[in-house]
Amino acid sequence: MYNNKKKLALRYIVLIILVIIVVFLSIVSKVVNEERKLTLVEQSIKDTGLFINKIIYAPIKFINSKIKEVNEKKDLYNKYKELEKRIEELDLVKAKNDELERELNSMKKILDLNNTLSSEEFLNATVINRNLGYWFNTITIDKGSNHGVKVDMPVIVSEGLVGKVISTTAFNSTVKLLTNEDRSNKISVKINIGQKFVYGLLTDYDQKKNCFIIEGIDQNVDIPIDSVVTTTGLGNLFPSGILVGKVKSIETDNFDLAKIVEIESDVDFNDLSFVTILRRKEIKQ
Amino acid sequence: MSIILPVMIISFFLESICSNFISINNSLFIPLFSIISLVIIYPYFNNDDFKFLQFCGLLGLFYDLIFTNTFIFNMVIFISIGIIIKLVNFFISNNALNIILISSITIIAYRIITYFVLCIIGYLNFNIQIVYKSIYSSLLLNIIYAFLIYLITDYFSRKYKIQKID
Repeated sequence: MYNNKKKLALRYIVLIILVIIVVFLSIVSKVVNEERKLTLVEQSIKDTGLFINKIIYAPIKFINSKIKEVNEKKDLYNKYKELEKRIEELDLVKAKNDELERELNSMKKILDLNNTLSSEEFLNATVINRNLGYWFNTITIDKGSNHGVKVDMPVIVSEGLVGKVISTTAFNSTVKLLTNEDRSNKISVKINIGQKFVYGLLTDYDQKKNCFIIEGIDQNVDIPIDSVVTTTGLGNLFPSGILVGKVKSIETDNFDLAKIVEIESDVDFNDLSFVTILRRKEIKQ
Repeated sequence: MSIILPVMIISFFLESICSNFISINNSLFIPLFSIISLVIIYPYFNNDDFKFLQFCGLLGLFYDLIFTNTFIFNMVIFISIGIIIKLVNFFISNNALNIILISSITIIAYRIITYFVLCIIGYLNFNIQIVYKSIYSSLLLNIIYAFLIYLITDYFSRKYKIQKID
């Protein structure tokens, strides 16, 4: 009798534990897989926590920047000479740029294009912390909805595309990096071959080889190594023309039907300190 | 409390600050100071396990909200880690050398549990090598941190006669 009661109690305990595990997994699945909007309470806690973090980090950041400054000063004269040469070329480039911009605007009017890089404005941000969840491949930056940052805005550095904003609070945003393993993170890209473009989908990131994978490219197309890969602007998420990387190698898939292209990005995803958010320009009527 | 709260708060923010100086993927020095702080503070709860697990859950919840943009995920995992720390402490006494062992077990458990949960929900693809990498890249720095913070807290607990289990 006593043993039966004990067995029954044990069964209930196992059942309760199983239910808790299932509930936990369903909640985590929803939270991690779906890009949800943070509640007001979550936003306030996050902002407060990161504000304290910023205050603690400030003196360390100051010392770090001073050390960098001292190191850079050693090479100051050579840099000055290099910049002097560039200034001479600057007027010429500026005039050419104005002319190209005018041409581009008139062409955009004719073609009714509105998803190009020139229709974006740049917002610089500092990285507050990097990939603390390890598996999530995200960074937190110090610009939020108060600065005009919205979910899904592209984030770049001078070397190319970095990722996109996945959540914002009033003063901070979280950016999901392109190196994220999340399979729903597909981006439409084009490979520039002379005057032609080959379109494909950036589907994966190979951690071992440190390169991105493009799939869905016709077997009969010849793609030279070092061809430049940029975003297409399709899907309305990323504007057209953001640099993603260069073609590193080309393989065929298991069925010999399509090509798999490996791309190497110049972005050092391991060392991101400052990034730029692309914000759509508001059209003045 | 005079040791528990400072250790937790310092470790929590230090982890975030350290992440800015350490490369995202290819590093041997990935900080997990919040988890290590749980190992260090356990003896100061003097077998009040429920209170210890409450602190684990609270730290996990803040970790979720402030750093990882998730909800409940780290809270439950930190509580599980708390239970593991309690079990390990049941068999191993608390001293500077054993702290290294307990910290290693905790880091391994944390990495494996998180990876398996994320694989089960379909966020990550299963690849055992990635788990190995995540474990060995976290061990070195965190063991050094655990050892140092143990020596510091032990010194203060002796100086101010703060009670703890050994």
